[in-house]
Amino acid sequence: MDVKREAVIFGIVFTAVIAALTLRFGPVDWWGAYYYRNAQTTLEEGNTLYYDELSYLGRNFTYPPVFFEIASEVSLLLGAANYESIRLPFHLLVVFAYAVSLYMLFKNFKRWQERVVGASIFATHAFVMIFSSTVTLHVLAYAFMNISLLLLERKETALKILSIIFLSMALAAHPTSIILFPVYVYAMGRFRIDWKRVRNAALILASASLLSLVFYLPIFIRNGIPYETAPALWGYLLSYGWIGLVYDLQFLIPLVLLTALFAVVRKPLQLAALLLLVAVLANAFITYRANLVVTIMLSFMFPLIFGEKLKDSLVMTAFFLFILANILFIPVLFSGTTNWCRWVYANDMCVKPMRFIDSFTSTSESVAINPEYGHIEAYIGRRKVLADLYVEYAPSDKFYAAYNFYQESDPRYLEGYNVSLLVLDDTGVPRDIPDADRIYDNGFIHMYRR
Amino acid sequence: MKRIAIILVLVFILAWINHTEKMAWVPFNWFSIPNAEELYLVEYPKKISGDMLQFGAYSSKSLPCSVYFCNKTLQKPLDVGQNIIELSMEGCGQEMLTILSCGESEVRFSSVRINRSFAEEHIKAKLDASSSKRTVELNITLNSQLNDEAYRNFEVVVDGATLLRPTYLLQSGSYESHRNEELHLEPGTHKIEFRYGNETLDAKSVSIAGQPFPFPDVADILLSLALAFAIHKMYSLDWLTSSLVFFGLSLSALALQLQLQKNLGLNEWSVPVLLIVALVLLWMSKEKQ
Repeated sequence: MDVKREAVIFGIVFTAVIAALTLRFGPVDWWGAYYYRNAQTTLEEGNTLYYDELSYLGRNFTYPPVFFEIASEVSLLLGAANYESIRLPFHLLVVFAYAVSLYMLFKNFKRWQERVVGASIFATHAFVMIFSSTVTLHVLAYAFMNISLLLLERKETALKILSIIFLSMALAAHPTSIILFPVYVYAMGRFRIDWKRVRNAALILASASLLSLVFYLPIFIRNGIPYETAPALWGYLLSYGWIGLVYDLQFLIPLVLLTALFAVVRKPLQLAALLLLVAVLANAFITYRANLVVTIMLSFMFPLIFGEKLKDSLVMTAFFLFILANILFIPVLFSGTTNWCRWVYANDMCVKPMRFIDSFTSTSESVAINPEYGHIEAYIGRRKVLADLYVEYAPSDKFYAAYNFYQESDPRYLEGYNVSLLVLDDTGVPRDIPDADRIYDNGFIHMYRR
Repeated sequence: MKRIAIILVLVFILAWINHTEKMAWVPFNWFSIPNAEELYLVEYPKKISGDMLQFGAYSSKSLPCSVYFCNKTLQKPLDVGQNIIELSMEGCGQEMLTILSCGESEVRFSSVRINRSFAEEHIKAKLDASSSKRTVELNITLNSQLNDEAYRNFEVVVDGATLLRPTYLLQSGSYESHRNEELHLEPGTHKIEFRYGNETLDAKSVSIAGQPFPFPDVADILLSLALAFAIHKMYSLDWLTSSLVFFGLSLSALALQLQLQKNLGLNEWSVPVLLIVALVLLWMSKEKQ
């Protein structure tokens, strides 16, 4: 079959799976909430250099702006007064473009089986399905990067310029693109170091980084060089150990081990096999964010190793057991979190308390809550929050005040912040503030006034 | 080939056993999303002057509940929705803790007794509203003469629909206090009412201006389409990659449009002009070929 048709079919199937998950478990999640809220604020303010009144009791908005600008302009074009009214169809459009461009990255594999296997490995990684289901910002950034990669090999100057423009948009939508781009270049070059290719990619990456300063410079001028509060608690050095790996990579772990085992005996792939294992270890013990590096390498290396054998229908069927199992367990991550709302979609346990805050408190009140629920509080509850998970440029005193208050159920950490509404949840252990008025309870989330 | 298939199946079986064991750590029902029961206090007193303690509690389910109060526990079934609970304070001390327990939920508050008795109680309010972009600032001046100090639940109604039910602590005695609320409204003229109970205390109208239609954005998208088509023709780019280029170009142009015009203050037609220049350069390069 023609690669383009395969890509469109893959795009339709992936978008349909994402739409089904979103419609079943949606419509809000604890992570994307930050992006939805600020897309709306951008639409209302008409720019992205505004003061975010809710995050950390008020701070400059410093997030890379491209997604918010696009979401705002698309809303305006469609005559939507609220981003929320176009969020789902816009998200699914971006998911479709992302899935199609993802499949096209595998176009240089000769057989359709190799292309399908590579794209399926990538697409069913839990993290990819999670951000594809909820966070349009990531999907958009990585779609831009994929299109840039598709044009990377072309010799024509105009197409190289386009590759630079798209990569700069990816960088100015999500800065992790700067790490993932070289990994893609290495994997798409089938793990060989071709210096001409490396130079070309480096030139494009450097030019795109420079061009992205159009978006970053106003942020740097207003706020200085970026820094991250609590990098090991919620920043780029967050890691969840082996169990995190099991939940995130799921059935890709045995595929990683098999691939590395078969690759290590093939001389040109020995270094790549070693790097794959190093990336897995880094994912488990240094930074969870290395998970996409693992997936990129695995999705290109597996069809490379097993290419010939994938022609056999038995091998393909056996391989798809892993992919189906990945998809089967996705609902566990999506819905199976019952009383806790930290993975993907937030259920009523977390959403209803936030609606209570939105309805029954004054808009001038401030909230102290587990920082992991800070985004969803600000999005649905719409009250100032002492700390959330946007830790770049974040005031560390506020983050740790909220974090310690939550960990120890001790309101003394909140002295001096004028917080009137305290929220605790029973994740892990039951939490309570015995001497405070408890005004809301759903058996999991408790609210207190002081 | 068969050997590889067998290896894959064996590895899969081992992985499945290990994975299901690990996943069992998370309690889940595959497709059963829990529907939380809710219990919350709506209005409740902090300082009580009479012989009766009255508070309002909302329950999302009809439940047999118990109220712990002045060292005794009373059974009190709650209906779905708002419930008014009245308790006699006979035999109570100066300080009281009231605990309402329903199912897995529990709310509580502490209060004290005071001596005060106005013959006539009232709550009056004056509302001022001002708007900036989509934000409406409400400045509320409350005049109250009350026997009990209590959290009281007000209502902000916009065009007949309740948008907000702020809960304020109103002190015992005669007091004037100021409150601020912020609403985000859609463009248009809106009537805002401030209510307590079923009574409108004050009302104001505000107008929110709509944003103009972004004609430069339309030009950006049309020019992106022209550029993608030109690239498709000139560089023999396949239709799918060309479509992706159009997708990328048009969204890039929209991002640049806002960044250059609104964040950096350049002319609103800067991006369409840039795209036209790109088209001309492309056309000129074709001429040279």
